[in-house]
Amino acid sequence: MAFFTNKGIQIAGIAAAVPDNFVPASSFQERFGEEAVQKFSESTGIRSIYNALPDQTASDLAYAAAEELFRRTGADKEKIGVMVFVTQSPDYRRPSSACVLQKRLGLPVDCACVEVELGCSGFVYGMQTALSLMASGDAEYGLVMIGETASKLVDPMDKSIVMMYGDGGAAVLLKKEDGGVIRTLLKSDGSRYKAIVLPAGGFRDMNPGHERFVCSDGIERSLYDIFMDGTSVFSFSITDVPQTIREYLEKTETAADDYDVIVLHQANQFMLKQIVKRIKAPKERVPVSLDRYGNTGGISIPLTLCDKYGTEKAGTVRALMSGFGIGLSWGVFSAAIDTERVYPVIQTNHCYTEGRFEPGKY
Amino acid sequence: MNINEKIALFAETLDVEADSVSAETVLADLPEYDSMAKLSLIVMFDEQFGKKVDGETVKGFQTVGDILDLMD
Repeated sequence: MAFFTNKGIQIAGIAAAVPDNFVPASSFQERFGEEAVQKFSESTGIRSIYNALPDQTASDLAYAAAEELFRRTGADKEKIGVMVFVTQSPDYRRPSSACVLQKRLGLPVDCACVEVELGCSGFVYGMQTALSLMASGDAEYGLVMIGETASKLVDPMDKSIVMMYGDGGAAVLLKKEDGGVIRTLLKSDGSRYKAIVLPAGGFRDMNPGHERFVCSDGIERSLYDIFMDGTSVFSFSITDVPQTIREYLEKTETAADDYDVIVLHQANQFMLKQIVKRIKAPKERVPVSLDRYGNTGGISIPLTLCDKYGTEKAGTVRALMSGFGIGLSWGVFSAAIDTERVYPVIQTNHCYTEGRFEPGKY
Repeated sequence: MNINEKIALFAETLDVEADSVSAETVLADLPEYDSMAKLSLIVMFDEQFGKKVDGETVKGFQTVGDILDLMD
């Protein structure tokens, strides 16, 4: 079992950002028809999303969240000794966007910056990566950043996904101090890597043609568009995921009822309901934000926390969190969260225009 | 579970009339057999039979009978 116990490190702040580009589901009616859009909203629970602006990247959204976090907490950037950036939408093929973000944020050279390339499970993995780096190092503060602009990878006519993927960014400040223990359980199953895949543009198939073809779900795509085998992903989400959460509860000798809030990756509402039922969670303790933000991948956990506690404070809560999806990859962790340090979701139009390279000018 | 009970469970899952389907009914001919119906079948198998039905299995369903055969 990939189970981790982290002592002496606490969550000292959480911020989240979405792009300044609100897209209501109704705006897709012209493309897909009123009935199809209505059916989509009813089955997924998604009524709107926020899509990144044309020049806005995942790192821009994570950057905006991190700057908001520093502004709110007043934390000293010079003391950040570990920074983990989670994304599957980097700025460049190389270098790592984590290094570019270090420069933009003005983090010190004495800071270990690393990128984690995971999607919906990325927040859980990113947190554990930072916690492990901090536990074995001398950093007093750590920063976990996460950003995604998956909407840019979807064929605009793919009605199975285009209305579902929202973009966003989040940042979490970690601080060495005594308090509760953070426990994490991580799992991966690469045998199902084809369940969610974007085949082209990596180094296996760098420049194939852009011809469109009909996929197994009857929807037309090119090799450059993201494909999701919805039935397989659903089956995974309502069987493997609750089973892992139950394993986690058993291992930690807790019950779903022991947690004040249970934040699940916001995939779709039908899926959420099924998981809630299977882990015997009190549904009033499972917040939903996907109705307004859609499926934002790994950002959905911190985004949901900021959405819930950004304005309504509840003291320190015991939170159980689970992210799951592409990989396939999934994980569960729990932590004490002081809701006074969970900040309201911001909207941003920030774009790092300096980051664009012009031919002949570098 | 006899054949009629299985058909009743299938019909309830897809929200169709039980007497409108038989084991020979081709799923592609059922307008109700859409993506949500497939998800509902996965839920039904998990809840009623404790069976994990994956995407590949669902893709292999051709007739109502293929689904009934798994209800044991």
